[in-house]
Amino acid sequence: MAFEVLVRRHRTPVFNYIFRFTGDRARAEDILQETWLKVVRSAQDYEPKARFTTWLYTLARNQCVDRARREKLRQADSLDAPRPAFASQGDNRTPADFLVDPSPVPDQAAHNLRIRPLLEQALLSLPEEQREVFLLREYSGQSFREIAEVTGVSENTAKSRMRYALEALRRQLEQLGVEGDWAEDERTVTG
Amino acid sequence: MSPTDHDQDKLLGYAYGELSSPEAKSLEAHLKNCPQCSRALEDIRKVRRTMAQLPTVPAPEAGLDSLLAYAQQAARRAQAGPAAHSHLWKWVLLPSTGVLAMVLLIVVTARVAEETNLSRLRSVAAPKVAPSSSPLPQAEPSVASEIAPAAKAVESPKEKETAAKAERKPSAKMLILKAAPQAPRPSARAAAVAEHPEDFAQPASKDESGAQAGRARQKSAVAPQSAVASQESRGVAAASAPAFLGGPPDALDREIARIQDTLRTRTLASQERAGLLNHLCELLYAANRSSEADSTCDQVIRDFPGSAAADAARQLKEKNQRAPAR
Repeated sequence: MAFEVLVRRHRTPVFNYIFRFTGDRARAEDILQETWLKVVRSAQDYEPKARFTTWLYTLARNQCVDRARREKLRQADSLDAPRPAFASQGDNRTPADFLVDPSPVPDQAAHNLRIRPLLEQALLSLPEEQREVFLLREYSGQSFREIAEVTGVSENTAKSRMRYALEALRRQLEQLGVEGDWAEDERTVTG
Repeated sequence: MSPTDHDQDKLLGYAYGELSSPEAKSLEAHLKNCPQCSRALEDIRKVRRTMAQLPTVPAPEAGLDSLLAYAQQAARRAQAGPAAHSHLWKWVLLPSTGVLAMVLLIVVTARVAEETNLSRLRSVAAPKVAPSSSPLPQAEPSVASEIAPAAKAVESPKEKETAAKAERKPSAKMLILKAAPQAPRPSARAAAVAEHPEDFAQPASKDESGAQAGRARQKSAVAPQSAVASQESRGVAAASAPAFLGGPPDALDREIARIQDTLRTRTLASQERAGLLNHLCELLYAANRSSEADSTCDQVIRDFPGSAAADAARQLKEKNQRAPAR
């Protein structure tokens, strides 16, 4: 079945986009399911001239934004609150706990284990509109023109948000003690 | 000098491989002579290298099967075509909704009418009824099943016992509820007309409509018990329908005998007894047993002087003397 092929191909990338957007795994799983159900229900609205992934990410993004709006009414994030990305996994450390880490770095695996939450925290520190552009470009492989379509802004606005996102991430990573040169290779997910 | 927004857009495009080949070559030439742009490009690359260390998280398997099943179901529906949906809507959903709305409307109307009559009866009967006996609910045959809970709510302990016995004998319970002296009820008539318009083809005067509604009640009252159960399940309009017309010829006589037996063997509150006698009058007139009907009416007028039941009996007798029942 063609739909199953589509689902299997795009499920994980879309899940990662949603997970990084929301910072909460349980919520991301819910939104992922809602997104695919929306795909099924809205199948007649899909115009083949648009890329399927653009349409798919538009649906996913709308679900994320709607959910975020609802959540904002209920709670406000703060530095002292447990980070949402890990609260659901029993990790209640705050971002401040990661600022000073005197433990040595025995190997790359340990290094990655330590650096991962910092990167996630850096991402979550971005304003929503910058975060979504960065995620779509960096991890989902959408072009700036497609990102403009997904987010409903002009291409120039999408690029502008990307510049702000990159600058904010650079500062945040420096603040957290993470430098780009720590990476061992030049690999990027896409692009 | 920092790069302009235009330059930065070019740098972004270059960093992400979105520039055309000539644009990329032109920018590379620029970068050789512009340390600011070179540094800005390096900053972008550093952030990308760092953020690329974020691992890909596998999507959960949970929900995948149900999603695929849902998609298959949706595909089957789509293959059936939109015509099927409109067909379903047109021929099943719309009529069902319409019928449901009609039934609801009739039930509400009947309940309001019931409440009104109940209040009226209470005000009329209160001084004449012993303290231990409560007013007989003024039940329209068509709403008998609907008002049963309300009737129970006003029952005295003695009546509760009676009702409990009646529940063991459903026909008796139904008869008690159906036996109140009646004024014409527009809702009952409307329901009966809706179900069997051929029975109400003649334009009715105020009095005639009462007689006709009474006949409709008679017909439904003497329906076989299986039909009563069926009527209850079909709702108020159906319960008002003259199902009796389709019954065996002796059904009316059997029903009359049953009421007479009830009156003879059971201890009833005065209001219940008066109502049941009036109902018996109606049935006797319907069976063309006029002399028995007249004497039954006379009995009500004599035994319950000044009551609403006596008034109803008098009216019933007068009507049937003017225009004998079928």
